[in-house]
Parts: sequence; structure tokens; C-alpha cells
Amino acid sequence: MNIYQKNLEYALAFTDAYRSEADKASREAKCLAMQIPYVLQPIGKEDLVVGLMKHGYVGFSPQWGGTYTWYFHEEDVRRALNALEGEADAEYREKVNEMCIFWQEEQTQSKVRKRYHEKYPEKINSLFFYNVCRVAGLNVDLGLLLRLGLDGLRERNRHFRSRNGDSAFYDALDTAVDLLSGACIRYADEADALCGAARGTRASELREISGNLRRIATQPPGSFKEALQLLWIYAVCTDLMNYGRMDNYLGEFYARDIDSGRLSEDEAIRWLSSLYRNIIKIGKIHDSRIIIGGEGRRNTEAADRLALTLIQVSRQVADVVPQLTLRYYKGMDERLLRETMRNIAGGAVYPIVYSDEATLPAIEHMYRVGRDMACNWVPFGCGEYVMEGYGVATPNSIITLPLGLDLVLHGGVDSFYNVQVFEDMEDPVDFETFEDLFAAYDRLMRYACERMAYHDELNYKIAGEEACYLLASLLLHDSVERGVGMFNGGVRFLASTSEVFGLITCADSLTAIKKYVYDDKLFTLKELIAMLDANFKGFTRERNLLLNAPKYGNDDDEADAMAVRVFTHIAGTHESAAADGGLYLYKMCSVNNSGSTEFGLHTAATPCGRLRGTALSNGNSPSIGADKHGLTAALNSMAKMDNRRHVGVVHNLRFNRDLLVHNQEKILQTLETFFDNNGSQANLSAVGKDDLEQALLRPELYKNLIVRIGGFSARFVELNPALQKELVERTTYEAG
Amino acid sequence: MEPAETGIVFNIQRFSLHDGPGIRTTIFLKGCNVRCVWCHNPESFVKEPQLSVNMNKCISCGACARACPFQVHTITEEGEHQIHWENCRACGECALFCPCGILSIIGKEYTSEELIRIAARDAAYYKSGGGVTFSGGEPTCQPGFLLSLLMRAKDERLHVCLDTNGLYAPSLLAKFDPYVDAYLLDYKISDAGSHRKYVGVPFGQIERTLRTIDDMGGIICLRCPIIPGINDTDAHFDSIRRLRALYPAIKEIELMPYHWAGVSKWENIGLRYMLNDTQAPDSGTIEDWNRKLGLQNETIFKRG
Repeated sequence: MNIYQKNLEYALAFTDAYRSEADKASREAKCLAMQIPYVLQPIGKEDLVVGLMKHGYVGFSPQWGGTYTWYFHEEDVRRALNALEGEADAEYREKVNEMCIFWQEEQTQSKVRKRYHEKYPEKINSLFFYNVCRVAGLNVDLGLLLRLGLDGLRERNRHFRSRNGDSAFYDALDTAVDLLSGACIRYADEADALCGAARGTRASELREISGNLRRIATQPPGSFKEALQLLWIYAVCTDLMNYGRMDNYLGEFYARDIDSGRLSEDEAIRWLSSLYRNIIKIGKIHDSRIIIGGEGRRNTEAADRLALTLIQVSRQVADVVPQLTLRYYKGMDERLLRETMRNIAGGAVYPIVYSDEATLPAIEHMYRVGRDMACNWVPFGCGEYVMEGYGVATPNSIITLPLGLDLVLHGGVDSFYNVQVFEDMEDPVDFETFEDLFAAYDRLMRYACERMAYHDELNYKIAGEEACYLLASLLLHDSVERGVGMFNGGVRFLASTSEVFGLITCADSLTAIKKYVYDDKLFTLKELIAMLDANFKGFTRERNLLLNAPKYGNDDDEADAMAVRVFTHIAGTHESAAADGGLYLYKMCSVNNSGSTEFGLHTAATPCGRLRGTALSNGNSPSIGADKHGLTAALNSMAKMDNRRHVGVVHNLRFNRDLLVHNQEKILQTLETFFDNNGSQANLSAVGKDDLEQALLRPELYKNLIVRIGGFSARFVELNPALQKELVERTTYEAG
Repeated sequence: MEPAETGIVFNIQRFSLHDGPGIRTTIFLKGCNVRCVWCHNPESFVKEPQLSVNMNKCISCGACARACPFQVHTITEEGEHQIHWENCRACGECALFCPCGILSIIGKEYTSEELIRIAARDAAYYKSGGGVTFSGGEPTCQPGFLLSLLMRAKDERLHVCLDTNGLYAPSLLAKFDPYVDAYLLDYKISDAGSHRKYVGVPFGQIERTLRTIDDMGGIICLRCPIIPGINDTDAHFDSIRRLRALYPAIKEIELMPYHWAGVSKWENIGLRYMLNDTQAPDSGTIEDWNRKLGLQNETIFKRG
């Protein structure tokens, strides 16, 4: 059987299994029992932590190939069928065709789309806002897994089953644990088989791997290596792509083994590097977070020791993932920040640094919880916050503010594509005051947020109707405790996130409009719109005026007040859109992947002086190159946002490398001051403008040059030219 | 002398790490009483705002010539951009029309209140000794304005450094001293003839200034620009050592090796740079100079 046949056979069998069970818990267990053995990939030649998966054309996943829950990739199926050519007879083709038709409606995403359009039938022909279906950023209680082990999880199921009564859900949970044990045994068997042909060190490594796997198939892990292996088996089977507070749940294993002489530093680094390589192979560059530091860890001293080692591994492996993330707090072991700076000065982009000082009080406020619970916050993906082990907070809606402003300025026409998106918007000539204009902007944002909030809630609701998310539910409080799947009331904080793009471009644009059109009356709004429509051709003087208008990032009261207003406003439109729904929390974030550049390619000229088709601002960083008053001024602007109104913002801080090397103390002092004074996050980097310009000229010499974009990192030479240009033009902070 | 509320400033440098201890905001007052040939801030020479042109990036489009009301810019038939500096009134209209962003007006009027408000914004970052530094040009060339700035800085409880060349009647300093925490005092050339030649004024006052500050109980970081071929002489190094021994007020010496960073600024404002043949010293040479001066642990003004 060739590979296409094999894949199609699996898809057909999976579909049959899916159709054969009506109960959603049993159906999921049955399908997972097919899926897990199928997706697990062989042990790699140098793997020390084993396990890798590759999904099929159809399956179950929190997020796979841009969709979720019960997913189906029809294009792949059709391609496979075509590739079979004569080998597939008419009957077989019909069978496959029937499967495709079945899934067209049955896949979970289709059900979400259908229900959404029942309420909001209108088609919106614009990138201004849109929704996606997924459950991104699962962060479960991996500490629970490592403390209890798989037998312990079974026991825990039994305990709560006896309290809550028998149900298909508990049966299915037990199956899920069995599947994890089965995956351990599967890899143990493979390791044993490989051992026969292996020589020397590799043979003993494989023996050790096999022994570890057989133990963790039932018992709680007794060593650092076993713990690492168990969490990875779980991650692979679950599609877990963010790994939470690793120093917290692994720190004691690490310290105990090092102290007893069972594990050497060098071995620990090799094993962690193997884990890193697995994460790299999965290739989820927008995910793959590992968190270190922060308040509320079980054993701070042990956790710090592992955290320091992880910082070192990130320096050595030096790749785009995992996104190692340090949670700073006052009184933290100062070596953590020092070693971080050492990484950055050496050209690494990790760890990214977040401040507990700024974030913990905000989490307490937003989640209405005490300090102990708040300590569970972690940023995932591009930087959205979620409560590890207690919450879900996937970002499923995207809104690009400058595109909205463009619609407001053109009576509902997207001026880049010259398409009428909305019919009934005001004519901009009617905006007699700035507040008239802002009111129209407000109405449009409310329109979008209402739809996005509805979609995000539906995304969870339908996931809950279709599945129990057994593997995730095992480690999410309070699924097992309550006897329900995570989306059936099993997760304590059902939160959702919206990704806001171009926030600062929009704010700087509104500042310029307010100042020049309404306050100083240098030109009329109509004249300004004409300039934008001409992409400033013939309006050099006016464009220079607009570029010289106050800009966020310079600690300028006027510009920053507008940025705060736009930020607070969009935060508020999200909050109120979800106020009456079933979400515990619906919040905006401004974390931004490469979308700030890519949406910029489809955005007309903006009143801040930005040209048509160029990058929008990234995260809560200033408009590209607009911050001209030095580091502290930029930091002061960034610290003005109310951290209780967002679940993630990013600030890109690129330093001159000499500055980091020669003035490390002052930089540390500056960052600590920022973090202690409401500054929530910093993407630190010391890859200079010169390096980037050289890389453009001689990409072959800079294949491993890694840059931080906003919410993710990438190899510079692999980025598209628009994004490369934006990165070159970003401000580098120097010493004054 | 009465404090003056307004003055001309050509740069406000936040996160300034090189003009005094800690993290600082350095405010550069326009106007200078001397003309050091190595100056890296020649745009500070005259007090009035002035035009600067980065000719290297000019595309000779003529937008400036059309915009200028005073015939400062002409584009010749050969496409050469000529500038008639003497006509310029620094109105800035040409800069607004320039599509390349190569024209700018250097120097802007501020009130002392505005400037101190900006400096105070970074107060949280001024831990471990940081604060505000008044530099130039020569800040004492706007004495009333400087006095107002100093007084306001002290009202805000900011640590204050005064970066000055000391080449004026030392009696002036008595007015400022109550508001100054530390002086960054230039010591340029110890040979009287060279001093007049390269700095443009007589040598005489510097020791009197030193003595005055010493008598007032001030703290000095003596900042010594070392220019190859001009003052990198043993005699000059001897002289620096002698001053240090003589005046306890000198807590630290900072050697400032010649560099090229300011060269293009001369051309941009229509001045001719005289030190084109001077080479910036390599690190070995700088180490050698430091050794000659016995500088090792100069940490008061450089501390983290």
C-alpha cells in the first residue's frame, strides 16, 4: 500500500469510528484510540526525549492546520485521491467522495460558521475584522501529571467518579490515560527494537529511554529524565504547544537529581536540548512557550536553578523556538536577569521578559481572584495571557484598527481596494468635530466587537457540543472534579482574546487628525482624505507635517493621551461586547505576529504620515521609527497603558550591542524601573540595524540570524521583504 | 543676574549615560564662547536656531528652492544644490517641503519649566546617582536661562551636573554653584599658544575656575579631550596630573579620546572641518594614555 492509500484508508476508518458512536465522550475516546497510534512518529536518531506526531487528513485536535476539534482537510484528501490515479476504482472514489461530503458539514469549524451566519448573515468583504476557529494556547496543570503519574491520574478519576457518579465521561477519561500509557509502551518497544542495532553510547541511551518509558507508563516519574519524558508524551498526544511554568513543575526533579549525583549539568543540558529539538521539529513558531521565573513557584530555589539552565540551553540551541519567557518580580534571583542580558547581548532573543509587578495586580483585578490564583498566569503563543491549569483564553478574532479608520474616513469604502464594505456609514464631511469622527469610529468598533465576541463564545460552545477534550480535561481544573469536559463547564476561567493590530498607527493617525484638522485647522478633513487617497503624492509638505505631529513612544502627553484613549476604547468595546455572554473574560491583546506588516500591505496611507502598503505599528511599540527621544521616553509611553484592560501587549526594544556589553548595569536598572512602574513586557534584542542590512546583502552568511518580530521570532533571511524592511527601520536604542 | 524663563536648546538627550553619574537627561544649550577645532557639536557654536543640510542624501529636486522665501537654496543647471547660508532666517519652510528629510532647523526655544518637566519625567530612572546635566555649547553663555534651569531642577530635587569649559570669569560660577551637585569641567590644552590656536581664546581662566570651584567645595570630573597631534603630549599629561594633585575638588578624570562622529555636522551647517587628517586613536593608544594619567578605577561619575 502506498502512502496515499494508507492515509486515505486511515481517514475512512477514522470516519467510520466517528460515525459509529453517538455519545461524544465515547466517540472521542474511540477516535483517539485510532488517532494516537497513527500519528506517533518513529524515534529520531539522536532523540533523548522521544515522541513526535504528524496528523492525518482527518482527526481531533485543539488546533491543527488552521482549524480545530473534529477537523478535516479536504484538499489533502482530494490530492491523495488524484495521486492514486488508476489504483482507485470508481467505488473507492465514491467512498472517499462520500466521506468528503460528510465532513463538509460535520467538521466542527463548519458548524461554527453555520451557526455564526445564522445570527450574522452579512458577508463582510474586508480584512478589518475576522474570526478563526481554534483552541490555541492550551496550558494545563503539568505539575499534576508529574506528581501523580498515569496511575495516579486513573486513581484521581476513580476518586471523582465515586463522588460524582458513573458516566461515559469518566470511562472516556480512563481510556485517555490508557492511551498515554500505550504511547509510552509503544516508544519503549521501539527503543528496545532500536537497541539491538545500536552501538555504544546510543545503545545505553536507548536502554535508559526504554526503562524510563516503561516506568512512567504506570508510575509517577522518579527522575528529571522521566518527568521530561512523561510531559512530552502527554504533549505529543494532546497537541500541547505551550509548556507553561517548566521551572516550577520540573525544578525539584532537576535539583534532586543534580544534588544526588544522579544527573550531571551536562546531561541535563543534553536532555533539555533534545526536548528543544522536538519543539523545533513541531515548528509552531507562534506558540511553543516555556515560562520561567515569577512569583508563586513551589520551590523557588530549585526552580531558579533549572531556570538558569534553561536560559543557557536557549543560548546554546539558539533557534526560533521554544519561546523562553522570564517572569520578572522584585526580589527575584538577580542572576536570572543578568543571564538574560547575556543571552541578548550574544544575539539571542530569549528569554522574553514579563513583569509580575505589573501583571499580577492586573490579573487579580481582571480575573477577580486572589494572589495565589493570579500566580498561575502565563503568556502563551504570541503573548496572550491564560491561567495555567485553570483557564482557556484562545485568541479567535482579529481586528485591524487602521483598516477601521480607513472605512470611517471613506464612508464605508475600503480605500485600498476601492470596495464598498458597509453601505450605511456617515459621510466624513459630516464630522464637524473630532468627537463626531470618533463616534463613527466607536460605532464601527462596536459593530465588529459584538460579532467577534459572539463568534468566540460560539467557538467554545460548539467545541463543547462536539467533544470533551479528554486529554486536556485530565489536567484542567475543574473537569475531572466536576465530571464534565473542559467546554462543558470543566474549565474554571472560560476566557477569550481578541488580537488587535495597528493600535498605535491608528492612535497616531487620530492624534494628527485632531491636531491639524480640528484644533489647528491647517487643512480640512476632506483635504486630508484627498492626501491619503493620493498616497501623499504632491503633498510632501503636508506629509512632513503629519510625520512631525506628536507620536506615541516619545513620552509626549498629547500623543500618549490619544494612544491611551484608543487602547482603552478598544479594550472597552471588547469588554462590553461580551458583557452578557457566557465568557468569563473577553479581552483585547496587542501582541502581533507578522500580521502588522502583512495587514499593512493591504492598508491605504494613514493620517500619521504612513505610506500605502507599508507596515503598521507592532504591538504596543511605537510606529516604526517614530520614537525619537530615547529609551526612557519610549518606556514611559509604554508604561501608560492600564494593564487591567488587556491580556497581553508587546514592546520591542532593540539595543545597540555595545550598550548591553558596556552598560549592563544601567540597562538592568532601566528595565527593572520599567517593570516596577507598570511596564508589563519587553522583547529584548541586540541584533543591530547593520547586521540586518548585511543580512539583506549576503543572506547566505546570516542563515541563523534570529530576530524578534512581536509575538514570535524567525530567521531574518526567511522573512518576506516587507517585514525585513520594517525590522531594519525599527529604532535601535543607543546611549545618549 | 536674573533668571530667564526662555532659552535656545539644540538637543534633549534622555537615557544619557556619558555625561555624569547614573542615567541622566542631558540638556544642550545652544551658543558657545570658544571654537575648539575638534568640536563634535559645532551646531552649538551660535546661539540662534540654524539650518542644517545633509547634502549626501540630496536628490536636487528643488523643492527647497521653491519653498524658501529668502533665496537660501538654488539648484544650478548642473544639478548642484547651493546654499546661501547668509540669507537663511531658519524659518524651516524648506524642511517641510523636502521629500528626503535632509533639511532641519537646529535649535528651538524652550521655557525652563518645559525642560525641567521633561527631565523630571525620568525621575524613576535616576536611581544610583542619575539626574540632569546641562551641557552645550557652553551653557553659561545663556546665564539667565541656565540659572532658571538650575533653580527649577533643584526644586524638583534632581541631581544636577554642569558641563562647562570654565573659560570665563569665575565669578559667574558663584551664582550657579548653590544649585550644582557636580561639575564636568573641560581641560583642553595646557600650552598657552596652542590653546589660543585650537580653542580660539586665551588659556588663562581655567585654573582660576578650578580654584574657585575648589574653594566653594565643589566636586569636579575633569574631562580631557585628547586630540592626536594637538595635546597628546607628555607635558599635557603632566599638567593634568599636577592639577589633580593640586585641587582636591577633582574627584575624577575622564579621558575623552578624539573621534570622528561630529565631522559631517560641520559640513551640514556650512563650516569647514580642519582636522580631516587626524586619526582617531586605537584602543592600545587610549590604554596608554590612561596609564600615563594613572586612571584605573574612575567610578564616581561612571558608576552603574
